Amino acid sequence: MCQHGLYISILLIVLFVATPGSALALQTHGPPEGLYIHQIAHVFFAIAMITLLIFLRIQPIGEGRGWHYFRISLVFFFLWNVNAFIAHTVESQLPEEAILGSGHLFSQYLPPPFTAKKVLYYIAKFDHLLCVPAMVFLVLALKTFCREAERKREDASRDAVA
Amino acid sequence: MNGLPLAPIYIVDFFGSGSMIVLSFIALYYSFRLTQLESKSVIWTYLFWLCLGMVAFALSRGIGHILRFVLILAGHGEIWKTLAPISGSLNTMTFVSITTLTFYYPNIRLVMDRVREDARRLASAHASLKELNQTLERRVEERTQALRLSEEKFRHLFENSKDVIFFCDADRQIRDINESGVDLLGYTKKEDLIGRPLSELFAEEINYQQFQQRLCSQGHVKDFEADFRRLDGSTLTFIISADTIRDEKGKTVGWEGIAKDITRFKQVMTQLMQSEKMASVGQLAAGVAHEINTPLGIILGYTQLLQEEIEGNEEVRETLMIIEKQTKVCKRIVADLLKFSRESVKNVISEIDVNQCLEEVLSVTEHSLNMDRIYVHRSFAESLPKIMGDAGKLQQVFLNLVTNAHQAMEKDGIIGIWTRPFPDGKGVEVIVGDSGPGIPPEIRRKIFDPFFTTKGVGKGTGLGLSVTFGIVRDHGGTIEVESPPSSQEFVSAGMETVFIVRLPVRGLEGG
Ligand SMILES: Nc1ncnc2c1ncn2[C@@H]1O[C@H](COP(=O)(O)OP(=O)(O)OP(=O)(O)O)[C@@H](O)[C@H]1O
Ligand SMILES: [Mg+2]
Repeated sequence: MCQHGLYISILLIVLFVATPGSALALQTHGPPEGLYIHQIAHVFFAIAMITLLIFLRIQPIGEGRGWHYFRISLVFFFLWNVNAFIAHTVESQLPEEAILGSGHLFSQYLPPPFTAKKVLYYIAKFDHLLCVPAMVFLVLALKTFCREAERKREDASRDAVA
Repeated sequence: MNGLPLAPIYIVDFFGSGSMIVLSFIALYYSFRLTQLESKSVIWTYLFWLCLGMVAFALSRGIGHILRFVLILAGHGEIWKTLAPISGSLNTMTFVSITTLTFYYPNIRLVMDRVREDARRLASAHASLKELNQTLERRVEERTQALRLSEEKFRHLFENSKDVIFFCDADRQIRDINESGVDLLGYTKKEDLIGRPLSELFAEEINYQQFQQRLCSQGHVKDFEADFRRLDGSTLTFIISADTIRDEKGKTVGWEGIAKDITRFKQVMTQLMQSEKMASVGQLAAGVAHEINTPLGIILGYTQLLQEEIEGNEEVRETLMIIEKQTKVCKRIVADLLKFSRESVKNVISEIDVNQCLEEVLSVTEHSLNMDRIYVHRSFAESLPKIMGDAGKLQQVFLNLVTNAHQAMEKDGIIGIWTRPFPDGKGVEVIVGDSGPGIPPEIRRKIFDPFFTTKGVGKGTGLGLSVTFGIVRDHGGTIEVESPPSSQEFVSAGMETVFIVRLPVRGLEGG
């Protein structure tokens, strides 16, 4: 329920953002605010992943491959968030002109000189290399859970018949 | 080469986003399946929402990246400029949602754990309650069974006791009485007695007063002797033990009692006492009679001698005649006494037809009875067993009874004589009754005593019945008096007094 409410409010906020003129009565949100929120969200996301990891360690819900995958997935999500945070931070510090190109996407490039920031930015931009594995492990974990649950159910029904 | 190409980044972005969307949907599918398979699990619900968040994230981000390519490649870069912040904001929102969910999950889990713990406790409480309930049912059943057995036991005791067992309520009314009680008191149904006041049972009011007083003051009564009145008016002697019934507060709610019929016992006791008395008086009498007999014989002898010698002197002769007569009376009394003490004459045992014996007695007495207009009603059983006994003594028994009847009525009346065999055929019952004045209760128990008489001097010596008693006892029989008779048969025949003599077939022989 509250999840629906959340999405509806997101939609409303988006509408307000898209039509700035109608938001006069509200506090104005300058450009860096969006970035900050996004960054804080990443931090939160990371903390949440860590919290869940710790929580699962203190109070394990179950054992086995599924949970192993799940933990790996959490680690990847955590790393992805850290990476994303770094990427956004570095990106914000690089000037517009740092990315050069003829307008065609595939001909864009990062011009030299290659400072540490630029290299970091370049590497961090490959964030899908973290979030896709995270998602893969999540799927694997869920699939394993599913299979276990199915097996359990089958056993139960077999026991009931026997 | 001037600078690092951004193309690899864009390509990874493009395909990464695509696979993210696909994977997130697969994850959503699995998590959904999980919630279906184990609907009660909190973690699966959490994972489902997480996956939903992931789908939202993958879509908002992925579509962002893909749209970017499409729009920029299509030359609409400026549209992407407007859409980019929306996509970014949506991403932010999904992060926040996922984070919130994740932070919230342990809480829910905690709550769920608590709920589950409570449920477990509730279940165990329920189980133990159920078990308790079951054992309780069993226990109740056991108790009921035990109670039933006990109740049956006491009910059996109550119903089958040969004594009267009764219960009264606080108003002294009979609440319950057993079968024997109903029987003994001459009723046919218990219901006829229930509800009646207990005092009605007592033949004498004064007895009830004493009984009640003792019960109230002591709380119980032991071996209280009283006569109970039967339905037909006759009485039975009971010995009663009773207790008060109290409730938890100690308040008297009723009485319970057991009464034992001792009528028969009392009869036997009095007869026994009578026998004892007879025996001792008999011995004394025998001694005295024996001693007096000799001097009496001498007196008589000399008197007769003198009579012969004094001829002519009429006055003296008459005096001597009186002396002789009175001495003869004395001798008769002495002879009676000796008879009574039974040492005098040895029994002459023979087979006796009681009817015939009675006829002989009546043939002697009937003349004088007729003179006084006394009618003799005979009701003799046709086939009587012959009994072993002394015919002369038995004749004396019946003669005594008939004489007494005669004397009681003086003139005008009926003497009824019945004979009948014992129900088992091992004896004969002879009933001699009369329509005379009856015997008042206060002297009834004394009439068998030697020398007890109500007749004037010279008329009766009071030995008749005691001699009779002695003879009957010697024959192994019993003699009883009823005045008025208890049997309706005798009452309707006009009898006021009946003497019942029971003689066993082999009484004398055996004794
Ligand atoms: N049929 C009867 N009716 C009324 N009273 C009787 C009867 N038979 C006996 N009695 C009473 O019992 C008393 C005792 O009787 P019992 O025969 O022993 O002595 P008795 O008749 O007075 O004298 P006895 O018989 O020696 O001449 C009698 O005096 C009489 O009062
Ligand atoms: Mg007499």
